[in-house]
Amino acid sequence: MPYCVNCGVELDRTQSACPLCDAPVLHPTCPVDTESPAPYPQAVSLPKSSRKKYLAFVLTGVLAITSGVCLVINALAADSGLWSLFVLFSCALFWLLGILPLVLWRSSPYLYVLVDVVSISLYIYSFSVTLDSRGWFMEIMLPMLGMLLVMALAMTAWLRRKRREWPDICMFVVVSAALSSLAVDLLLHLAVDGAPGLGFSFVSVTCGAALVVFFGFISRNRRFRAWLTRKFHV
Amino acid sequence: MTDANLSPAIKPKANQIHSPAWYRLDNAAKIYPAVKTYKWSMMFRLGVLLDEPVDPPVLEAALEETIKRFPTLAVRMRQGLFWYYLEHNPAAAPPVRPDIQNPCQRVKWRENRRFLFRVYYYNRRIACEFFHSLTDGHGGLMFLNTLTAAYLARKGHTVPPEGSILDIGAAPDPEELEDAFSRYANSKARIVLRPPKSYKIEGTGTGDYRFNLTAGIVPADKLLALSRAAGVSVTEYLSALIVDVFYRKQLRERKRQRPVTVQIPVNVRKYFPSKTMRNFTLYMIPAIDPNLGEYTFDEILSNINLYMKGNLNGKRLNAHMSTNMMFERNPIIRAAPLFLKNLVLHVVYRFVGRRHTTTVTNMGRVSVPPEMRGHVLRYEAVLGPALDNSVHCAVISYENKMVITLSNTTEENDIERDFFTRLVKLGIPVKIESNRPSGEDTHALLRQLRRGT
Repeated sequence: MPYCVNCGVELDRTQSACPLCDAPVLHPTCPVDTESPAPYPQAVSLPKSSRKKYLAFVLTGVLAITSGVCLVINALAADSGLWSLFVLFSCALFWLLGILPLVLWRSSPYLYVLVDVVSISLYIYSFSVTLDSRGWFMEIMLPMLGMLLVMALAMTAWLRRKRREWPDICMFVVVSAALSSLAVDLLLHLAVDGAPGLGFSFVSVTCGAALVVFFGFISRNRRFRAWLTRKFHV
Repeated sequence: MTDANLSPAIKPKANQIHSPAWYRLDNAAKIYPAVKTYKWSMMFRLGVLLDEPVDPPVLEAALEETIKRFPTLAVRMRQGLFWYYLEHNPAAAPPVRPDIQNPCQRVKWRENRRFLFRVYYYNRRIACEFFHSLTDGHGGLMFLNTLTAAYLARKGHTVPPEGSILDIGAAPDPEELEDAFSRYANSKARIVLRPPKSYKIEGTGTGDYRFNLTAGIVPADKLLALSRAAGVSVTEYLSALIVDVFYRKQLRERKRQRPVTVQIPVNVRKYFPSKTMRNFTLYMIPAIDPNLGEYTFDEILSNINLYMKGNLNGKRLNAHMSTNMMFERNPIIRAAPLFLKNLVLHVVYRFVGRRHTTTVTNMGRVSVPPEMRGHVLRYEAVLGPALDNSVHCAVISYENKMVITLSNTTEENDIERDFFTRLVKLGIPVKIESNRPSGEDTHALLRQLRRGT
């Protein structure tokens, strides 16, 4: 019988390492038995998330009924404009943002980000089409949404790479917000004045820089962070 | 194997079993549905290791036969306006399933054919998992033994119904269905156990629906001799050992020192005779406070021993259960709607109910008829995962094999290592078995969990 040289306990023949200290089993005359079944099964079973699917089903029903009723009322009173389309688009957006994650439980977060940004883009585009003014969408909204997509994907990848400390996450959010404001400012100037320029983004970028310095200091100074936690704990 | 091969004692007699259509939850059972969450329920597991691989169809047939003898288990949970209650489940039996690496998962009222217990098989093991509202360790063990006897009978081994094996053909004794708390709680004294806010281990959580089991198989006679030499019971000795392990771990952490408390369930049937198959268990909660000074192992042992001696008697136990019953008997509490009770119980349990550091439950020595002895290798008991980070201990003995199972909801295994190596240093040989994956198995398991299969 194999024994752990570290802990002194007897091990099962199927164990390749000690469960208590992870020391590998190196028995000169008794190799690890890979044929016999292990003391405990290795198959993992997770319970079904029926509550989320049930909730998704109920909410989908509510949204479908709301949209259907609005479409019928709008069709009956045709002279009141196409307002039911806005309700329909809003319901569709809510479904994609709020209910789809319940159905696609445990899917890739990149998929969620992609679906969210694309659905928001389509939602805004549908308004521009309905209102028959596509210029602002193509010139301002589309580049902004593209930038939002890139930043959301970058943040997802950055967060998934390893566990991040809260000051680092705050820094990332502040930098993203400052860049977004800079981009919005530039795009607005291009669309309105026809030439690039800077306005309100100067304030937000300056505030962002100060906040990045502050969070950077917190991130690197453990004692200061401990003091902050102690002083401001809730 | 057909019914014709069964022994007369095991053979079912038709139209003999009558049981009530519904049951009130007993006093101990009331808390568990209220504090249950979407991902966690209070579960425990009992298993038996046989001398040959389990035959699933035979086990299924044996289960269908056995469940009829246990009307308090053949139930489903229902919600009333004021209380939960258990209603007879018309389904034949829960499905018998292959065992899994992550046992003791939460129950849902609508799953598992609405039964609140599950039956698993793996190689030579039969395991039953019970939601604690149904029964306690005693009732669970009676069911497991009767199921095993019925299984063996179908495999051609006659096992007479005696001791912890019930006659599955006979009608249940009304005493088996009783709420023994209501019967015995008549003390005018009141005892409220208020354990201090205790030390809780910190660590990396294992994640939802998973926890680590480490079972140490030790010779029962050697541990008994060690306990007798110290003048204490095996439960007290093991409790002192685990308290010592937690105490020293806390000292190493060099943080604010909190009391180390151990919850020890007590089978009250020994003090108040009852055949009930439902819950009839109370808790002792001895503690040591490191702020009072340094403790040696002997001091911890004597502390626990004195606590148990002082509290483990009929009068104090009656006062304890009468205090518990007091809340249930209060007309204002009784008239409160169920959602309000659930809310209050949930909050109370979160903040006060799980203040202890660890739990040590000793199921005692299982004895089976001589005809069954040759087919049973050992028994196993597991306390289900706790709601927070903790390590709990369940002990069960059979013949000369004592199985001590530590269930841990963190990835770290220093408690298990300290506990079992202490036993080795005391001269007790320990054989370790664990569900912890090692090396490449860990990555495979994590991949499997991420996929959600």
